[in-house]
Amino acid sequence: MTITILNSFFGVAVLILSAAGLVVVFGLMKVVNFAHGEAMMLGAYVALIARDWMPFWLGIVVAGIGIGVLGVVIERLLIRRLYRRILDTILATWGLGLLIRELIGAFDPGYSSLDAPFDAPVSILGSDFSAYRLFIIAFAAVLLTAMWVIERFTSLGKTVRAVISDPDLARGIGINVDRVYALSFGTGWLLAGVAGALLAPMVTIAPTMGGNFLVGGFLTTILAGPTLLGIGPAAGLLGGTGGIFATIADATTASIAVLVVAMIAMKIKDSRSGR
Amino acid sequence: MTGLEVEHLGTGYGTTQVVTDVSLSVEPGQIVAIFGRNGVGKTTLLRGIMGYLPLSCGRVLLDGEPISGKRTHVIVRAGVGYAAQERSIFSDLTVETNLKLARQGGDNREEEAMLNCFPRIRERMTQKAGTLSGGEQKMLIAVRTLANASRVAILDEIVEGVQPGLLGMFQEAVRRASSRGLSILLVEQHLNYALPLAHDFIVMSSGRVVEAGPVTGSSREQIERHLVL
Amino acid sequence: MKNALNGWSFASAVPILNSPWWRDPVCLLIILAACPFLLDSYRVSSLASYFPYAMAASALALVWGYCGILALGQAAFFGLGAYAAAKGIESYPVAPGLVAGIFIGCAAAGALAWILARVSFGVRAGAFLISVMTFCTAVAFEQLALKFTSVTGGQNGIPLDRVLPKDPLLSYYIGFVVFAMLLLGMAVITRSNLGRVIASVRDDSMRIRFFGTNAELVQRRVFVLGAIVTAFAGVLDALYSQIAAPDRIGFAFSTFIVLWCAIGGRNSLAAAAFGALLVNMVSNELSGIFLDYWQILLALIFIIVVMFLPDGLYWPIRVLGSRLNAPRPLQLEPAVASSSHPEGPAFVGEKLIQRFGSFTALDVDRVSFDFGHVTALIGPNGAGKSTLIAFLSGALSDAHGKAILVGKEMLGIPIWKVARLGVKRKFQNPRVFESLSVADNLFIGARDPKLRMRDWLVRDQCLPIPEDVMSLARQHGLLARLNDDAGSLAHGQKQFLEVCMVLGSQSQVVLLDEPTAGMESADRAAIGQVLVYLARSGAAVLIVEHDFDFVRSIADRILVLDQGALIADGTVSEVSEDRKVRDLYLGEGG
Repeated sequence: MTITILNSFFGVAVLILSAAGLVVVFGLMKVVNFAHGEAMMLGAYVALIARDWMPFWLGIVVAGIGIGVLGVVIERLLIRRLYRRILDTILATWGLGLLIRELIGAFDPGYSSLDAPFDAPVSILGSDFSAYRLFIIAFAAVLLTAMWVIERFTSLGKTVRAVISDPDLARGIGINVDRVYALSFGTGWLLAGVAGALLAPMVTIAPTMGGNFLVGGFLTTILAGPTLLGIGPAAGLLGGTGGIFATIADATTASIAVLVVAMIAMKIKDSRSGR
Repeated sequence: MTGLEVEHLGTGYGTTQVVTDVSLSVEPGQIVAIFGRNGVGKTTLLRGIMGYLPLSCGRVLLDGEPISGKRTHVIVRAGVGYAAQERSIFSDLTVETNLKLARQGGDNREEEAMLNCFPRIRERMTQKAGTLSGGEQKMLIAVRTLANASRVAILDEIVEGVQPGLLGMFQEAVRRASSRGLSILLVEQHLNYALPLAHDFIVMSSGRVVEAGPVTGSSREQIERHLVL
Repeated sequence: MKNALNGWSFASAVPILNSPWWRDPVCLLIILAACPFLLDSYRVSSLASYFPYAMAASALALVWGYCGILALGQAAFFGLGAYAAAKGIESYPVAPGLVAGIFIGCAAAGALAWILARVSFGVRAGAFLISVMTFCTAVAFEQLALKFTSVTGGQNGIPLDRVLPKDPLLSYYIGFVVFAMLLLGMAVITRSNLGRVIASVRDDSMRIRFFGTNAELVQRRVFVLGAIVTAFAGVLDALYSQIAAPDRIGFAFSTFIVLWCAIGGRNSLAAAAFGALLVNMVSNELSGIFLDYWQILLALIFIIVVMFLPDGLYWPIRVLGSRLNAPRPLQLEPAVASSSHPEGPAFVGEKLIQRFGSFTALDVDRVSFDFGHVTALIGPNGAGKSTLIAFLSGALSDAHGKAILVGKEMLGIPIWKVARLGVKRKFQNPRVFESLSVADNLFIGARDPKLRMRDWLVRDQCLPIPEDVMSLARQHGLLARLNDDAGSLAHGQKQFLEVCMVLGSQSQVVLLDEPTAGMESADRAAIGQVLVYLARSGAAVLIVEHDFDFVRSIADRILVLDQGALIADGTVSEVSEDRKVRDLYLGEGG
C-alpha cells in the first residue's frame, strides 16, 4: 500500500516535470510545443555525455542551460515568424521534433542507460523505496512551489501575468513583450532539459524516448488550463489514476486509463465552463 | 521642434485605410483635444501613433526624433504614456501592481502627486483592479499614464462613464501633468470636460481632420456642428 | 472569327481540365497506370506497396487540408486496419477473414475517431486540441500493440501468408484500382456541396455556424470518414507487406503520414498521395548512410514547407492551374421571394444581463424589435451594441434573462440553431470565407444549412438568389469576379459580399453590425435600399450604425444603448429630440 502511494506520487512528479515547460510556453504564448519531448530527450543525452566529464548534478545544470539557450534560438528562428498561426506552430515544432530525432538518430546511439547518482533504497513505513525516486518527488514539489511563488510574488511573475492577460496593454505600459516570449520559450526548454536529465536514470535513453513523456505532459497541460497552479490537481488526477492502474494491472493499462480519464475530465470541464 | 508631431499620418487595419493624412503637433505644456463622432478614426489614429498599427504613410516625431516604425514598448519607454479607451487595466492584478508594472525607472514622486489628485485610488491599493468601479478604473488609468509619461501623454476618452461630479479631479490631474511640461493629447466626446482644458482642438470626420485651431469662445459651436445628430 | 476565339481556351476544350477536382486525380492515375510499363518489376512491386501510404496521405489531406483538422495520430487508424486484417486472415479462411478484418478495422477506427471528435471539437475547444489528442492516442496504441503480445505478436507483429496474386503486375493493378476508387470517391466529396461547406469550416469554423451549419458535426463526420479510409489503407498495407507490425501504429508512422501529405501538398488529395509515393520511392533507392541524410533532409524540407510553402510540391500546379482553370461559375437564378413573414415582434428580451468577468456589458430591462421594420441600434463606443448583436445571434452562452426570438426561447441554444430560426448576422469587419470563390461564398450564404445525402455527392451549379441581392452583387462587381477567391477582393467588396451572403438566404431576422463602415455614401445608399426593401417584404432588420444621416434615411425605429443599458427607444424624431441622447452625443449639457 505504501509503495502504491509512493509510486503514485512518483507518477505525479514525472507528470509535473514533463508538463512544467509545456505549461510555461502554452500559458504564455498559446504555442503547443510538439518538440518538447525531443527537448527532454536532448536533456537526457546531455546528462549521459556529461557523466564522463563532470558530476551528475552539474550535468543537469548544463542540460538545463544548454537546452534553454537552444529554445531561445528556436524561438527567434521559427516561432517568432508564426505568431497568430497556431496550427503552424504545432507543425513547425512537430517538424522540429522529427528533425532532432533524425539528427540524433543519425549518430546511431542505440539504447543507453544512466545510473542514478544514488539508488540505495530507503525504508519508509516498513517498505523499501528508491531514494532517487524520493528525490524526484521532492524536486517536483519544490519546482511547482517555486514556479508558483515566482508567478505570484515576484515582479517577473507579475510581468508575465500581465503579458498573459493582455499583451497589447502590456506593450502599452512599456513591457518588451517579444522578449518575454523569447525568455518564456527558453524557460520552457530549460525546464524540459532539466526534466529530461533528471529522469534519464529512470528510463531507456533513445532518440524516440520523448513521445511517452510528451503524452503525459500534454494531457496534464490541457487539463491544467493556462495557469501554473492548475498543474498540481491535473498531475494529481492523472498520476493517481496511473499509479492505481499500474498496481492493479500494468504500465500499459495505466497509460490507457490515464488517457481515458483525461478525456472524461476534459469533457466534464468543457461542459462546466459552458454554464 | 519639441513635443509630439504627427505629419501626414495614414493608417488602418489590414487593407482598410481608416485614417488619412492627419497632421498635428503638441508642444510641451500644451493640451490638444481631438473631437469627432464615433467611428471617425480617432482611436485608430492614436493606435497608429503608438506603433500598434503600421503606418501607410507619414511619420511621428518626438522632440524632433522620428518614433514611427518603432515598437510600442520602445515608444512608451521613450516617455510617451498611452491610456487606451477600452478596459485598459489588468483586472486580475492589484491596483498597486498595475501601477508598479508601468513604472519607468525607480522614481515614483509623480505617482504620489497623481495619487493625491485621486485619493480614492490610494485607498484601493491592495484591491484587485477588476473590482474597482468603472470610474475608479478610469482614475487608475489616469494615474498610471500621467505619472509615468515623461514627455507626452495620450488619453483616449479618459472620462468616459465617469460621474459628472468627479470630472474636476481629472481636469486637475491633467492640468498638473501639463504644468510639468508634458505634451497632452486628448480624445474626447465630452466637450464640457475637454474644452476648458484644451489649448487647441481638432475635429475629425471620416478619418480626416476637418476643423482645427486654438480654442476660443466660438469653438464650441464649431465643434458641435460636427457632432450633432 | 476573333470573337469566336475569345472565349476559347485549351481548358474549356478539354472539360476535365477545367476543375482541379478531376484534373489532379485523373492525371495522377494516368501516370500510375503507365508506371508498370516504365519501371522494372522490383520497382513496380515497391510502388504497389506504397499505395496504402498514398491513401493514408490522401485521407489526411481531406481531414487536414480541406477541413483544417490537423490530425497527428492517423497511424492509430492505419494500424487498427492492419491488425484487424491480420487477425481476420489468421483466424478465418482468407475471404471471410479479410472481409471481417476490413469491417472490424474500419468500424473500430471510425468509433475511435468519433470518440476523439466528441472530446476535441466544439466552440470552446482550441484548434490544437485534436492534434494533441490524436497524437496521444497514437502513442497509446503503439504501447498497446507492444504490450498485448498474445494478440498482436508484440515487437514481431502478425505475419501473414500472401493473399495477393504472385504476379507483380496483377498485384500492382489490384492496389491501383482500390486506390483509384478511394481517391475518386474522396474527390467526389471535396467537389460536392458538402465539399464547399467543409472548406468553409476550415476557413472560419466560427463564421459558418452563423449560417446555420453545425460545424462540429461536419468536422466530426470528415474526421471519422478520414479515419475509416485510413483504416482501409491499413488493411491493404497488411496484405502488401504481409505483416501487421507495431511500427505502423505509433507516432513515428503518424509523423510520416503528415510529412508526405505536407510535402506533396495538403490542399490536394492527389498531391498528398503523390507526396507519399515520391518520398517512399526515393527512400527506396537510398540505403545506409544516405538514408540517414535523406531523413534529415526530409525533416528540413518539412519545416521549410510549413514555414514558407503551404502548398508543398503542388504549388507550381496551383499557380499554373489557376491560369488553366475555367470552372463553370455558379449560375444564379432569381429566387421567388417568400412573403410569409410573421407579424409583430421578431424579438422580445427581458432582463437581459451579460457580464464579462466583473464588467457588465449588457443590462437591459426590456428590448424588442419588429418584423417589417428597419430598427437602428446606436450608442457610444462600449455601449453594448455589438454585445447585443452577438447575443441575438446566439454567440453568448452565459447571458441571463428571457429572450424570445422568432417565437422561440433562444437562451442556451447553440449558434447554428439560432441561425436556423432564420437569423443571419453580418459582422463588423467583413468575415467571408477567404479561400473560397465568390460564387461559393454566395452559395454558402444562400444554401439551406441542412445537410442531405445528395450534398455529399452533388455540386449544385445553379443557385436561386433574391433578385435585389443579385442586382446588388452585380452593381458592385461581384458577379464579374465569381471565380476569384474572396480573399482577393478589396475591403469594400468583401463588405458587399458578406451583405449579399447574409441577405441571400431570405432570412426572417437580419442583424448587421456597421455594414457600411468605411464605405462611400453612394454605396451606403445602395445597402440602405436593400435593407428597406427587405423590411418591406416582411423581415426584421436590426442595424448598428454610427452615421445618423444614414440611420435617418432607412430606420423606422431607433434603440439607443449607453453603458449596457437601453436609454431611448422610439422613432427617429423622438430619439433625436431626446434629452438624454443629446447629452450623450454632445457631452454633459451640450
